[in-house]
Amino acid sequence: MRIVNLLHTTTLLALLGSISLSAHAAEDAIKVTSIAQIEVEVTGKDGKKAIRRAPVTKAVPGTEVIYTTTFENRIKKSAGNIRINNPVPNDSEYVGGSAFGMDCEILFSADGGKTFGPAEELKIRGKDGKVRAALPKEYTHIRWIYKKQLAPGKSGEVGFRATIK
Amino acid sequence: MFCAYIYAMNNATKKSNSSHSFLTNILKKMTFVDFSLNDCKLRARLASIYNCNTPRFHAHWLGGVMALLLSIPQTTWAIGTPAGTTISNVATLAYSISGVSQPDITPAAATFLVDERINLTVVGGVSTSVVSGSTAQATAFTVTNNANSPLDFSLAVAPAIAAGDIFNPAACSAFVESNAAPDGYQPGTDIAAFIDELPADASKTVYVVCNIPASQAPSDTGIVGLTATARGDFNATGYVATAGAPGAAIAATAGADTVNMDIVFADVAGTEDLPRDAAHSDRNTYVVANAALAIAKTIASVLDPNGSAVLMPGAVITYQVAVDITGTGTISNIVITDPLPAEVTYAPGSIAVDGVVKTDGADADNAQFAANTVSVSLGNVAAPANFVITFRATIN
Repeated sequence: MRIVNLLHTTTLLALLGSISLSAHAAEDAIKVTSIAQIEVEVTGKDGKKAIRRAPVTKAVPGTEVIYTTTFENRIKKSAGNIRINNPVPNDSEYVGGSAFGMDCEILFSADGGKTFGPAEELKIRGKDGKVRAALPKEYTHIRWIYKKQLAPGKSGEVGFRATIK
Repeated sequence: MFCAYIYAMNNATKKSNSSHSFLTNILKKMTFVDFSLNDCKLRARLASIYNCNTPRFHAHWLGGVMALLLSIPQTTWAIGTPAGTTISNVATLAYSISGVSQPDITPAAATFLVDERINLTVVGGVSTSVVSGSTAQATAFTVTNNANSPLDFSLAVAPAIAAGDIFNPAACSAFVESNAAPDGYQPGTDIAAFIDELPADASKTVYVVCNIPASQAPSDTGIVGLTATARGDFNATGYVATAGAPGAAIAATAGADTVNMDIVFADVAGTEDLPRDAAHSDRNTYVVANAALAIAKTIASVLDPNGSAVLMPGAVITYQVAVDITGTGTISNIVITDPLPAEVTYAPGSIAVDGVVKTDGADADNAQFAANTVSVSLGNVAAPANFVITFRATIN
């Protein structure tokens, strides 16, 4: 019986959490935007081909999508301890080595966000019960820890690539 | 694998003292579950959880487990995320100002729809042995849906391949295997002329059925092509099933990309079609067999009631039927039937094929005795081969 009550409590907390997030969204000191893009090859007027980024429109399984999150300090004080937590999107696999972010420590999780670590130290318990190194496609979350103070008016950008399964 | 984890979770529940470690245990264990939808085993284990806890707990616990199970992403999409799926990326930013932690910020999710990728394969490449002048000769192809949604497929037969063969098969049609496990072309049963609602990653056997012109020489070949074309109805967010009817012809989304679910052709060229045309094709070859079947019936021995070999009432005759198949190719559906004369009485249980004794009933073995007739079914036999059938009868 104890477990039932605790389960309920957990659900309630999760609900409250999501409500407070949406309430704060309109008046944030830091403006955060997330976009999804793909790379397309375009041919210029001179006939030269170039790779450009475009919004994701043609996205069949196997397409590599670039997800970028930008953050901008819009108040007159510096912001610190900036951490960005990003679950790998549904039906997608993280592309190894693709996470980027200037002045950021980048950590990953392969256990649903419970524990985070650098890519080279990430472990997972395999189907045979043995612990082994986690493969990039098994990563569930990415976390960027911005190592500096974000001065007023300044912005930063982090991102990663994931393939549509 | 799956049930083992459910079982482990059950034990973890009993030992756990806090919701945190309880949920952690579930999540930890669920992360590695191979998610095969084996309903029976799943129910068996959940039932055992039922038995060892109080009634009120159960509904919540079951609901919780089911929700967790269903939210686990399937790790192996052989063919891809279904068209129309919304992929959503949600980042959350935490920060502090002057050392004071501020509420997290979650921007609007970056979302897009997975597009429809039309792809299919037709695999033939089979040689089918036929007899000149025979009708309704079936040759099998396999059609596979490699798209990321279910699709219908229309079928077209190309009997008049110009080069590389001697004759053109006539009066050709294509029929879809009606059974989940292909059992060969069954006239009157395999009658569907298009493939209806083939799931992503699934295959169907299609039979092209043709007549073989008369007067063809042994080893003459006739090539036949099969083209399957994807069909289906789509709305803005995915495939719309049209059970019992072939969906509309599919057009790739023209012009610039759209934010809706687009349709992209990804098929390669087949023997009778072009790349990226929502169709694929392959060819099979009919080969006129020059196999021959010879049959000879002899009396192998006679045993009269006096212990000698006199053909007299009461004497037991052992008949021997030798079947000899020579040449090359395959002879199909061979059934040997031998009606016994009125003057003899069959000795029950005496049929043997190549020394192996068979039962008399119409059952799984290939021999039976009914209506005073011995019959043995040899099925499809590739030349060269031979069989010896023996049985006994008593002179009346």
